[in-house]
Amino acid sequence: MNFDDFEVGAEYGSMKLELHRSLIDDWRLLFPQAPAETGATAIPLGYVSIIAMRAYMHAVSVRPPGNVHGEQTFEIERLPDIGATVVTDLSCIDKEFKRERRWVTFETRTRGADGSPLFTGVMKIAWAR
Amino acid sequence: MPGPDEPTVEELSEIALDVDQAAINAYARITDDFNPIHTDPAFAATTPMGGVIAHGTMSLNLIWQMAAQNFRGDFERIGMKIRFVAPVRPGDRVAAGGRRTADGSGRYEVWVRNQRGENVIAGTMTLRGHAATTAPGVT
Repeated sequence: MNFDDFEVGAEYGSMKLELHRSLIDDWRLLFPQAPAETGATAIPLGYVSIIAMRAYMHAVSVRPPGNVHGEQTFEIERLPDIGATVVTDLSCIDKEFKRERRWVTFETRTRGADGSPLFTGVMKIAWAR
Repeated sequence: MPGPDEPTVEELSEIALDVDQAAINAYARITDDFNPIHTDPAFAATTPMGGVIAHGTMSLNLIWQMAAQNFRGDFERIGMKIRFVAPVRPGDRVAAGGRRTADGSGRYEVWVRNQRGENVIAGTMTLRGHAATTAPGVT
């Protein structure tokens, strides 16, 4: 999608993700310094970013090469358990042309399979031509 | 002095990561983000970045791990607001750090810095709802 294609306020899809332990194990291979969480049932805090990014990649699957992530916020209410299924909705909440860059801002809202809110994120992306 | 619902830790213990192309490629697989600015040196050289940069959220993961290490289960909700202020390149060593602000808000200034001491991420993290008085929370 190009910058001009985005409509502020529009929804761009949802992604359902089953949080298999193998996904968390792959993450831990890259971040072995993450604190051990023996007996913990919830996903590691850091995996919140992975869920949001995967949802963005899924919902906006056609992107120009060279986009750059500029800003990010997260508000975490609750972490899902390993093995749970989560659903993330993605919408465009802003776009602007500023300092020679095209910025697109997306909101991600992640909920449990029962619809209960888990966490939200806002990501601001410098959109390549 | 922090209030009863505020975190008491002043300085957050650091967590570091050595970034190389293998780590960047692994992070691309984990997130499904194969933007060639991260994975293709020839393409990345043609962009305004002038070469490969690591995914911003790869470094952000260090802040999350730092939060987990310092506050495991102590707080119910966490907010984060950060900017990616400089690129991280293959060969960089980045480390997350943080310091409690003095305004009594329960907020921390957080950052990720490279081996030259330059911020690559800067922002704030806010901890809400002390676990001693609320339901089990973020670990």
